[in-house]
Amino acid sequence: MKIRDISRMAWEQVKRRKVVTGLCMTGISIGCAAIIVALSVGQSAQVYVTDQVNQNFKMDEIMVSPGGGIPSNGKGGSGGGGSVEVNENLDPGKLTDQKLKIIQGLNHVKAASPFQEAGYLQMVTVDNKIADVRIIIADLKMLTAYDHKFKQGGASGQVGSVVLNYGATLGLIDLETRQKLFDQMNAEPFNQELYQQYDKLGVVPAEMYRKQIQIQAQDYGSTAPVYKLSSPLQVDGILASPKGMDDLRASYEKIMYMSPETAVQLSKELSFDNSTTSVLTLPPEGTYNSLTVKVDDVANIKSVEQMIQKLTLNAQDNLFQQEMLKEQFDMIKMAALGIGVFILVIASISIIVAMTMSTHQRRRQIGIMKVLGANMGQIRNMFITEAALLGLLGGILGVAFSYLIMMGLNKLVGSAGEGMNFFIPTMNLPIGMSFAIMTGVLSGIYPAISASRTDALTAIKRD
Amino acid sequence: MLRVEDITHSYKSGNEWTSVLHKINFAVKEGEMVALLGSSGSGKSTLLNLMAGLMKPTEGHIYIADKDIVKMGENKLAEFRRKNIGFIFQAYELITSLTVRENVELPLVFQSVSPRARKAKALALLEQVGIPDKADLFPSQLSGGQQQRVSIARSLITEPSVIFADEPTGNLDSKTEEEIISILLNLNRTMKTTFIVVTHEYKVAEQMQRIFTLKDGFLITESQREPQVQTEPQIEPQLELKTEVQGEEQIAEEAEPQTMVEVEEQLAAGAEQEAVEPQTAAADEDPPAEEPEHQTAAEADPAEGGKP
Ligand SMILES: Nc1ncnc2c1ncn2[C@@H]1O[C@H](COP(=O)(O)OP(=O)(O)O)[C@@H](O)[C@H]1O
Ligand SMILES: [Mg+2]
Repeated sequence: MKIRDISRMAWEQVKRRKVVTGLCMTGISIGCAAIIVALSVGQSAQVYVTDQVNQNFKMDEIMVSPGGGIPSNGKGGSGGGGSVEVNENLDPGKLTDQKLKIIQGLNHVKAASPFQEAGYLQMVTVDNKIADVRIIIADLKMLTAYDHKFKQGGASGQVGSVVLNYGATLGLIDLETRQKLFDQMNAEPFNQELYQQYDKLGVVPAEMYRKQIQIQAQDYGSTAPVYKLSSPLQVDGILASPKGMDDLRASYEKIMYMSPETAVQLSKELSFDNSTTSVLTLPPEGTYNSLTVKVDDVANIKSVEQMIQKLTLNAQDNLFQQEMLKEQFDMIKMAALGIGVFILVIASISIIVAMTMSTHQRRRQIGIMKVLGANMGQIRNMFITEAALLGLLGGILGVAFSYLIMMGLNKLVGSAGEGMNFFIPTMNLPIGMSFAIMTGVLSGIYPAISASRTDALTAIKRD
Repeated sequence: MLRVEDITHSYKSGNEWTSVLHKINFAVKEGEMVALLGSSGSGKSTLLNLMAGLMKPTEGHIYIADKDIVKMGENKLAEFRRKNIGFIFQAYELITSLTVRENVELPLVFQSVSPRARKAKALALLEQVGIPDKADLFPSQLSGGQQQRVSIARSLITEPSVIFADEPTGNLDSKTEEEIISILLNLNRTMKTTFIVVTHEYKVAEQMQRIFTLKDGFLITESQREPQVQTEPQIEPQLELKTEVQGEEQIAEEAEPQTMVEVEEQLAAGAEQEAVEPQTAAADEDPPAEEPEHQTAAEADPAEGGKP
């Protein structure tokens, strides 16, 4: 019997038996849609969260900080990617210049450079606008080695030159306006408009390239507010915003990069006589409080980390973030798949019942076909094809359903103002379809076999 | 061609066995048309179903083309049936979801014959049974007599060596009954197909070449009739029709490549037919049938793969 004939006859039956077809298709399509939607929601969420994580954490970087680590017992053990001369005379737990040099010399290390948090300070522009910025002390020439791109300008080696990230050029506001807005917001805490206005102001861009700025510090030690302004600093470079980050998010993180020399100068200018602590947190000369190591490949992260730990330093990577996410989303996906499969199993019961009913009604027809020369295999194949066809149709309907559901979800999330986008990865369509067809075929097997066993005599028995 | 040897059959109902057929013996020659006559409940259908291999007798043997069908397993029997046996039902038993032509083609669908070949064959047969214009209608759109014609065409499409008809006119009025019987008689004459027709009406049975009468499961008489002559003039036009069928069939056959297994099977079948034919021809009591029969034999070879 030719496949074309089998499928045509199966199609005839599917067309004629509207109730059976409707029952089976509904069941399968719900199951299929459940699988597709569940998998897709999981994947959409994963993409969204992974994007967020990748924006904030670089996977091929290691943060090195003083202290901790595994004190190494001399040479030996797993040498790994490079040989580290373990010197017992190295200051234990301290992140020294010497150790920085060693780390820079390690195999697989593309770059190792200090990135030190020096605290938050106020930046003041020439037209008297202010913004709170995070000061990071780093080798400005190394910024590009850590995936930063310059939107404007570049790094200059001069003392007094700084680099701003894109966020630091957004939402600069003059003191009066800001104070007025704050006062208004305090007075009317439930005025939605004021908040929107605040958000809008937060992303207003300012032209900062080649502009002069000053850093302002307040002396908290004295009773009356005492301010000190630094000498002017020149903005020689502005970093581009990471791909996919919107302005509002970018505006939350305002960073100013400066060289250690500039930082020392600034620290001197802004120190208050009566204050014991500096406005800038600077580590002692010749040491660092934080290094960022860029590794050539994510696969080598762990081995480089071990080397660093032998220098009695803390080394931390961001891989755990990904792993945590992966574990969480694997669980979500498995649960989703489980729900889909469960619905399909329920659906398959409806198919088995409907098909068995249908074979019972068609006993006479099956008998006639047997008298006309159909063998058991052919009858069985006809019924299994019919079931597979029901699965296919249910699957198509299920795909349509899942697109509708995802559209609905996007509308829902869109109206909630979240940046998340639900999409159906193309790979999920064949997965959903094959589950649907498989359900059809599997649940068709029993009715098909019982149909093929129908006695040919049934056809001619007159009662 | 067909030989029934010591067939005894009992049905089991509950714990009791009811004997329905007792030691039935008879033989039918190739190309013969015989009636199985008997009143209701005499065991005619049981005997027919046994001969068609639809069930197994309690005892005895049934030989068709020298093969004991009693010994065949389910699938072998299905294979044998589809090649050698045609069946005409009292209630036509057409598949309502298929058109008339598709119904006629159905047995060939199970044999994986190409759509082109079976369409040509089905249309030729529909013409032969007198309803060429009904090919694309559905069975529900036909009268009882027309439906039975479709069923007859369907039974012929595999070119079986024997056709069993169980009360083929049982659901029809007497005028239509006559039409159907005369179609069967003509087919028997022109195509040399063996017919075994079950009926409870003597009026129908008396038109056949021989009558076997069953009473309460016993074969009581076997009457023979003189060869029929009154319908002889009809042979000419029927012959033309037959030639037409062959023509189309051969084109179709060429279009359809055959597997080695099929060719071998058909060669084997051809050889068997040859072996049977001389004996049949000698025993044949119907002189006008000589010519068409030779044609059938000649046609069988090229159509079935040719002689080596
Ligand atoms: N499947 C069956 N089970 C039990 N008894 C049956 C069965 N089929 C037929 N019979 C009995 O066998 C006898 C012969 O039936 P059947 O062959 O149908 O006769 P006919 O076709 O001549 O009317 C009847 O008495 C009938 O009741
Ligand atoms: Mg009967």
